[in-house]
Amino acid sequence: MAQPENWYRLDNAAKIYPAISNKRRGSVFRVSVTLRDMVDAEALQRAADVVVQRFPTMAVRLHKGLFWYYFENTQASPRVQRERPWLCQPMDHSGDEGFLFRISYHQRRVNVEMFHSLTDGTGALVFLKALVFHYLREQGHAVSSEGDVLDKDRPFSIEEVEDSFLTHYDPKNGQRAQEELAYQLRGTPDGDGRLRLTSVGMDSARAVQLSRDKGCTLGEYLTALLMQSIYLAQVAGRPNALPIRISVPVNLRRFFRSRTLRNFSSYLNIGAQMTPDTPFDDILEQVRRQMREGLTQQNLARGINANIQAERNLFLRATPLVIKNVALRMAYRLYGERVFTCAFSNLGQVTLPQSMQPYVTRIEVVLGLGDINRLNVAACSYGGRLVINFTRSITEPDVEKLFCRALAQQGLQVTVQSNEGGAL
Amino acid sequence: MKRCRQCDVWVDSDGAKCPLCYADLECAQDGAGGAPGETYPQLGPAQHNGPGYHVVSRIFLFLSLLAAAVSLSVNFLVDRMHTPWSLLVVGGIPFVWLLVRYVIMGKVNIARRLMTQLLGSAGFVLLLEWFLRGSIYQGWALTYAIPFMNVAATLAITMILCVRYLRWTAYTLYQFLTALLGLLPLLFWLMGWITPGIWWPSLASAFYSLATLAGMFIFVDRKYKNELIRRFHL
Ligand SMILES: [Zn+2]
Repeated sequence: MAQPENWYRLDNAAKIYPAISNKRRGSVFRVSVTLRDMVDAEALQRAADVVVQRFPTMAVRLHKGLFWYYFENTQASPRVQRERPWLCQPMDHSGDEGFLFRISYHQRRVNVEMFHSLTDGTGALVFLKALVFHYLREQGHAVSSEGDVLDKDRPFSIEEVEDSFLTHYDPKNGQRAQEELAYQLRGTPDGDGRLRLTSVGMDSARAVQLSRDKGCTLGEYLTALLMQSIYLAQVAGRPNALPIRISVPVNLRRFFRSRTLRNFSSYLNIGAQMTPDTPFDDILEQVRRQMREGLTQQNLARGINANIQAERNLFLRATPLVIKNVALRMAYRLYGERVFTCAFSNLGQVTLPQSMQPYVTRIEVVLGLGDINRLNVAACSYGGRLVINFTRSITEPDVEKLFCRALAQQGLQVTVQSNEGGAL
Repeated sequence: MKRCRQCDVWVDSDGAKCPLCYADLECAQDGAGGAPGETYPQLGPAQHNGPGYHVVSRIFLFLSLLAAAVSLSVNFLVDRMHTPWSLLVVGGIPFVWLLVRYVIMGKVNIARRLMTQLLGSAGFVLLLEWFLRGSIYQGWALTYAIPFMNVAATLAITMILCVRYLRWTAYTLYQFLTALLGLLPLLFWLMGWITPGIWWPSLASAFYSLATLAGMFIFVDRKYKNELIRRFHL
């Protein structure tokens, strides 16, 4: 679809987030790299100034039209900030800067926090890589992109701004069935609404070996382990509880040809039947079956269709935005987060050009939280380390505890970091 | 790097307790990789931010409801709603709320606030007019008040547009909508809702609106068209 050069429609998946975001639900996630050396804020600012020029879909402000939101390009440059202990806080859309992402640093780490309307995890990592690439250049390191970084010299391609949902929409595929409600974690909410982060690190080769021994993928293994941990922490002994379901985002670029830097992901809701005596292998088998059934091109295409068909309905399109927002909020309260217990986003192996690797020691992903789900989990691996980040809005770390203990029991060396360690 | 024996994990923390099970940590020298030290900015003790301004809001909401209930009851007890003055109170309260919370305290675009104020005031004068029906003031809202308010709002937004022209994109939509609203008095006139013979305020409002719309098309045509496409895209 032809777009005038200085504004964009929100992509199909992005449309929900401005409607449902508020002071408590930011719809924000974070990708970070840890560098070998301390971060130089001024060099990072210069790198940010360069990199926003390269990513026209990121340097935007959110505006309201009569029927839809839209993004408008801005010539401003985002101000690099110190990282604050409150993570994944909502973006201030109306602020003077009005950026929908936030670049921050703390000691050796550089974070990019991103409003989900802009892009998904894959797109955010592309942006972060480019930022770090230019930062290392600013620092005088001889890094080269090796075709793996969208640096400022790589020409911008129109494919990067495509709404791939529309490209791959095919009404022949039918729609996805309605989801059922899922168990929600209980616990003491933090009085200030802050998020607690527990970062769990381990050797990725050994973790992969663990899943190979069971004949499954690492993602399947971790999903099953997470499900078992939630069950044993809260649901065991409660026969009437709703089923635990884990929402697993799927990067659709792996299934459909796309080079977009905007949202192009879907999700699978994975559930399992359990009793306190169900062996782990049984849970794993159920997870594996659902993953393999779900991760087919046809099933994923159904998910795309369900979204697009709502969007194409002329009556819905011509409804004023104010009314759309109210309706979306109500629908989201009823079905949005209530159909899963927690999200588990696995971004898999993250790669960097050979020349950048000596300067980057760690890459990680952190998910924010809404006000219904109390726990979200995100994983990725880089440089032989697998980092699994748990974000929770309740004070009790029971799920994390069982999860880590189970991994330790399998003989893994598990390292735990937290943003509340100092207070304990 | 410290160690939690209960969990069998390494803990990279300045704290004394395991973040998973709150057991005391052991110091261990032979840790697995990674330098010890603060890794994430640490959350301090909870602040328990008071509800603060929400309390003020809620007190006023409560008082508003109370005022509405009291006036309705008194009105009913005194003259069985023969002169329904209490409806004026009930209708006026949302108007005051709109004025205070949205127009005065609001943070959104000033042109949008002006337009909202225009709509709110129009609603309120219509209520007043209904209240004064049968008296010599009948028809004054549609005949005078609303046309003049339209002209005033349109003019005000035009002035803001001229003064803060760098942010013109934010105001154009509301200039356009307000100007469209200014055409409505023409409809009142055609429908015969206004005081017979006094058609000049309606005509003035419509004329002023058309002049504004024409001015927008002539002076900022292309940018303006682009702005309208963005704002109205389906
Ligand atoms: Zn412990």
